[in-house]
Amino acid sequence: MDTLRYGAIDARSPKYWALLIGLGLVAMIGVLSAHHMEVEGHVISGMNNQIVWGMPHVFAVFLIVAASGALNVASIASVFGKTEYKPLGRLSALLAIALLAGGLAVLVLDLGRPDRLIVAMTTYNFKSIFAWNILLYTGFFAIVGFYMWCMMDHAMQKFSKQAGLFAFIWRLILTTGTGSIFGFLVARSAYDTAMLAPMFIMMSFALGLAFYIIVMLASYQWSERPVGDLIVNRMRNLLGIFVAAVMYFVAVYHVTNLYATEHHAVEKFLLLDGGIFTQLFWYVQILLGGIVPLALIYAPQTRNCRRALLAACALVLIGGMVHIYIIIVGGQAFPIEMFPGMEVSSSFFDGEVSAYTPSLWEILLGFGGIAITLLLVTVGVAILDFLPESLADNIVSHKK
Amino acid sequence: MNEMNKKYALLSKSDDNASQAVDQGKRTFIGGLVGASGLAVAPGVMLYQTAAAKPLEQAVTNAVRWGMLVNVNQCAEDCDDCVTACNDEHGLWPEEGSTTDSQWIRKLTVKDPSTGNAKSLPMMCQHCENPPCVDVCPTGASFKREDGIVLVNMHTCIGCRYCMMACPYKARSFVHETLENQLPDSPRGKGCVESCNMCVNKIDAGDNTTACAEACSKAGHEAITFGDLNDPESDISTQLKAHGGNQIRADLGLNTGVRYQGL
Amino acid sequence: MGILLSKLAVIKHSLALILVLILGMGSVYAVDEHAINVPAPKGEECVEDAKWMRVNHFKTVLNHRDDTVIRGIRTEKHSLKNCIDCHITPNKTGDYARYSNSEEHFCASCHTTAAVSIDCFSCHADRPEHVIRAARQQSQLEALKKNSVHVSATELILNTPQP
Repeated sequence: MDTLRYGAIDARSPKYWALLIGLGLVAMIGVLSAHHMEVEGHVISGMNNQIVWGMPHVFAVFLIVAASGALNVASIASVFGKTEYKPLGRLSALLAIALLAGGLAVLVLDLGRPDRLIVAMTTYNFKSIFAWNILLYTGFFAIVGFYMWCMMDHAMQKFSKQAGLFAFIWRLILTTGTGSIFGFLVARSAYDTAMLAPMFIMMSFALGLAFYIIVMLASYQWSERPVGDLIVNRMRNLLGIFVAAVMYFVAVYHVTNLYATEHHAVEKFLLLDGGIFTQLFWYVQILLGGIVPLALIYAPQTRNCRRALLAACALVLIGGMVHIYIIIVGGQAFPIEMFPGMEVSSSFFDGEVSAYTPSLWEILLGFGGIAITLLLVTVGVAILDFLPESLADNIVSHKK
Repeated sequence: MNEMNKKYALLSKSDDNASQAVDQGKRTFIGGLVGASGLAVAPGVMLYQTAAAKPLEQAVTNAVRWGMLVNVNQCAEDCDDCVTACNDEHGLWPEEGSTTDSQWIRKLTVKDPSTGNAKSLPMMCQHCENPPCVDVCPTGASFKREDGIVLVNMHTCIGCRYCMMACPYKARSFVHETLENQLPDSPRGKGCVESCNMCVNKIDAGDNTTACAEACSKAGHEAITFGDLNDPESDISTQLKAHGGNQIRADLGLNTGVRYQGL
Repeated sequence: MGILLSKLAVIKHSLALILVLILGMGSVYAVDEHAINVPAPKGEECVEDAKWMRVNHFKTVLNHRDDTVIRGIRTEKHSLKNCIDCHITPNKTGDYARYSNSEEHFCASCHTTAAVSIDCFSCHADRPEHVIRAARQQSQLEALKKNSVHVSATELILNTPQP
């Protein structure tokens, strides 16, 4: 049969329940860690007055950026007309919502006063890109929810294209906003650049697709449904393009900075003598997160191997998280240049490179966020018809 | 100020039926009268501002812009009286070497590696006219008061620390743990961000100085001058006019309320 | 028929619940803070009468705080510091109750009974200034006895309690 049929996965297997309970535990531990930080204060976390944003923000930005990119898969079908991707659209919308929910959960739970969330959602300073982001994120839920409805309800199918286009534009603005959170800051030498917004867009493409591929292949493997090579190879090639594009933006960012003498200090720090940040940049972000995945994707020996693709996706995600870590934490570790060219010292650690050791609580909170995401997907695919029953080549290429 | 306002109120009632020439004559005469009375009242107005505090029930206005001038040449390297005074005024008492305790003011040592010349200066919130911290605060908790003081409204602060990321002077601190024994004039608590508020409690009470400026005078160094930047006759304005005063990170275009001489 | 009966039962029970809740709301007026041993306030009478205060004090707090912080209006009548200075007095043994751990604290006496949690005192002083400075000095002296490393002598001198 060539017709495309969607079906909820069978939730009665012990494997499914094990996954559900496992994810639930990790999520609960994450929430409890956040509660502990709220009660005791952030003094128990690794963050301080020098490194103000740490692991929770790295995880949150990672998940939020991936969320916007995960929706891309649906957009390729609705907006760009590639019908091979159409069967993937529903899971794409579900994953986008789940990733955003997980990221926001981590962000909100790390606030100094999470009890004031209502204040955050009702009082806005519209000059703040952070305030705009709050509106963009909540809007994203509504718009993707509507898009999902259009994709899944036969009566609403006719709005699918417009909903898809609206969602696509919305997520471009959202990701630009997320990148601008850092790009708008004049205070720190590693930020204050328009580069960060498009770089984040490219990162969202890469991270979102990598996450999607892993989730899709895993759910099809575990629910014993077939996935043909046609769609897998299409996504493989697309991932390769996205990873290369991210590396392009990273290269332009650094080369431009290297050209300007005023930025030499921070570039030297990031690329040469920043200790852990330098090592993470070259070995993990560039090598493991960029070059190795590209090799796995394009090399003839691994070009058709699914395991290699999964490994490439995992490496892209790790590289992406490290990239965000270097932006957020590395950007803060380098001292604020109040007196360029001078040696500054004080009781407030001015002029010093700050060290950051993430605490267990922050890491548990971060993983809790990922667990919330995966939990939402796990529950979603068993309740509603998100997943096509088969993604074999004949079904994917069947032009309806 | 009220006298002048009353005069203006009376004068604005013009007779529509009067001829233009008469009107013009009236205007010139009245204008001269107002000018003369203004000149007579103005010194009194200035004196009124410096001598008495604003009434408690009156809101602050932008008629005043509070600022500070730091003369780095008079700042002694081994003195931190300003820091101690601030800590005591606001109940800070940070532990030495702590990375999480709040510091609203600190002493910076700035050394030029090529010449070996070293300077010492106090660094606190610069009370910018265009504060990046105010721009980025999602709830508007970080705000600039009408009289130029930049501070955090702790009732609205959600503790996101974005303002700390944005401040070019690293002036802000986050309260990382439950506090004990907060002073009534400086309420502060866990989960909110805080910074030098130019001793807003002292200013509103009519002290017309900050704890750091007061301590510096007491120590005999006179390195910190506090005053009204909008008042050309004030001590700070006359000093700025005579000897100039730089902003730190002037290229950012923030128009700071704290200026430095000797940098 | 069975469904209709159960719907009626649901409506009946909901109405009963709403009635109980409405009656229960009046319980806020039933709190008698003098039943608990709250030390008497300093002044002759409050800035507003007790009935007005019971109904409106939180509205006053919420409005006045914006006036104070944003507009710099620091009239004493509705200032929290003023409330504390008058209402928080020492008990028979000369101790000052804390909001967080004692029902003898003026605010706590009502709020714990009415089960309305407030977090004013996570930031604001719940006792007059001289009491706080004395408490601060006390904790400094104790820290000095334990380990003399972190106490600043200047701070000790500056924190001599004022009457």
